[in-house]
Amino acid sequence: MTASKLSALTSLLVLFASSAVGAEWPSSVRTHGFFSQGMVYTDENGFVEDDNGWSERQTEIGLNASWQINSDWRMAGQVVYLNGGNRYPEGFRLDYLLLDRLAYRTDTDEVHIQLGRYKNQHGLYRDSRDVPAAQPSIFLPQSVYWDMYRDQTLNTDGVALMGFHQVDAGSLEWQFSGGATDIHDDMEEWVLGKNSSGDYEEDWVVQGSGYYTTDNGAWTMGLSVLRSNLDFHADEGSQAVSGQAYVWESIASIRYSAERWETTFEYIDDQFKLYGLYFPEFRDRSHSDGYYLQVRYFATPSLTLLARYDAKYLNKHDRDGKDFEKQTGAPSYFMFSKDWTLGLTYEVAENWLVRGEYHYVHGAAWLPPHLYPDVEVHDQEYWHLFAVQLSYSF
Amino acid sequence: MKRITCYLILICSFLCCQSAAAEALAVVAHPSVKTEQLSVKELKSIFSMRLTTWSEGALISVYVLPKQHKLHESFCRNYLEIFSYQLERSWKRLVYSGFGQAPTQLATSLEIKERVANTPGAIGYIREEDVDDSVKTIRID
Repeated sequence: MTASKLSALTSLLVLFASSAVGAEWPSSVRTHGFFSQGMVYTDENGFVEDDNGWSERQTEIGLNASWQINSDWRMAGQVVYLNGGNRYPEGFRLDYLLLDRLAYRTDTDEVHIQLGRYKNQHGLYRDSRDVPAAQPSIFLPQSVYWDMYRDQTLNTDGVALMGFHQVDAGSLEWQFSGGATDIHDDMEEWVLGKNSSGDYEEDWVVQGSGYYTTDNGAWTMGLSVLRSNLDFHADEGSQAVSGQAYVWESIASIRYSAERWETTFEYIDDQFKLYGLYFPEFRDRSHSDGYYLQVRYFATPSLTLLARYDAKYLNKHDRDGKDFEKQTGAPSYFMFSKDWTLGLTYEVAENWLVRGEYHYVHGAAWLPPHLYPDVEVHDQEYWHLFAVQLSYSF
Repeated sequence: MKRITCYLILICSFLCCQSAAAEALAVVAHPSVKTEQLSVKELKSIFSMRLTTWSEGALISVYVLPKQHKLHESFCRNYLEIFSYQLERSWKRLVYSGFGQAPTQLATSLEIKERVANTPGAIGYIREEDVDDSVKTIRID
């Protein structure tokens, strides 16, 4: 049993112990959920499926419950089933399961402690990333919300402190947390390649973030910083050997919301130190970054249009990938992805959304695996992606 | 030309009447709530579900109308001074990330009044004409 499963169990035990406090069952329990099914078409490069064309492997299902035990204690959990084709391992995941304690309050402030598996407030869209109704598009901008590292930064088993404060001319929310993330058992194939096998784990992660919103809700701006150590214990015969990655990741966010439109800009800075993995004595530092600029236009109460430019660079000192091509012989376009997106969201009935979007992509930096670029499958520098999705949430 | 001007005046006056006729609303709470008045900022923090307890420590239960309801639109705009989509966005985020809860949605002003009157710690907004002794009106400044 891993530490993560232990902490989830601990939360459950604490919950049952505290049920003696005297809860109003069941009116204090709220349940919500979502379902989505998409169809994705790629002409080249095997996004979602290794062979191109249409794929229906784009499903997101989730169910959650939140139990307000009394004014101080709350218990909440969510289970999801995800199928993203070859974007990440398919299957069920325990998204969060936590015990929330109101630790401090005044008339203008609240601080909560969350214990168990909690979500990281790391960027504007991460904490609700699999929920279509809480997202701007079918696929999130990969510069900041890269599918390959979804598990590492999404949720953590440990302790989080979360605060909300009314401050001059606005409000501030923040989160500080520490723990370790339970990475999906098969994730090493996505990061390290199909011929790599072993235990891919996160030893620890600490994270801190703050977001400020002005009184009229027009501006939101924030910064989130995350530091984690990842560890890989290779099985015998694995292509990638045992090793570690030390990660520093920062995201700066700014959003402006008007009556009919909204614009969002986020920038990510990622610094890695790699030990081993390629061969035992391998040492490397890498510094990647990326950003996106997104505009949403609320054309009617039920129709939203979206335009976005998203750019990701795996080495900010080699943005065009020319040095990489010289050193490895692999094409330079594996070192960046630049994505132009147009999309629309139509609310066909209450809580039912239909989405369509088109991506024109230059580069293949998104595409797994990360450590050993697949030059046979991802053989095109320019490619197109088209997706439609129907979703329901309650 | 004169006729067009006439029509314009007619349309304008009609629109003005429409907005003047927008139903007056009141923020009401369960009679046991001790708070007498709230600032816009406090009201916003409560309806965005970020402040979850009253001064005396009781849990706040928040009731709202559907987002298509005119009274909801006017509450967001005139009382909270934000757009309703911003409120909805923050509720969704709380609900699906485990950070918090969303308000309870009811269909009509009368249903909200009844529920607020019968739920300790409850707050909601209703048509001014629906206010009676079963609920406590909260002053907003």
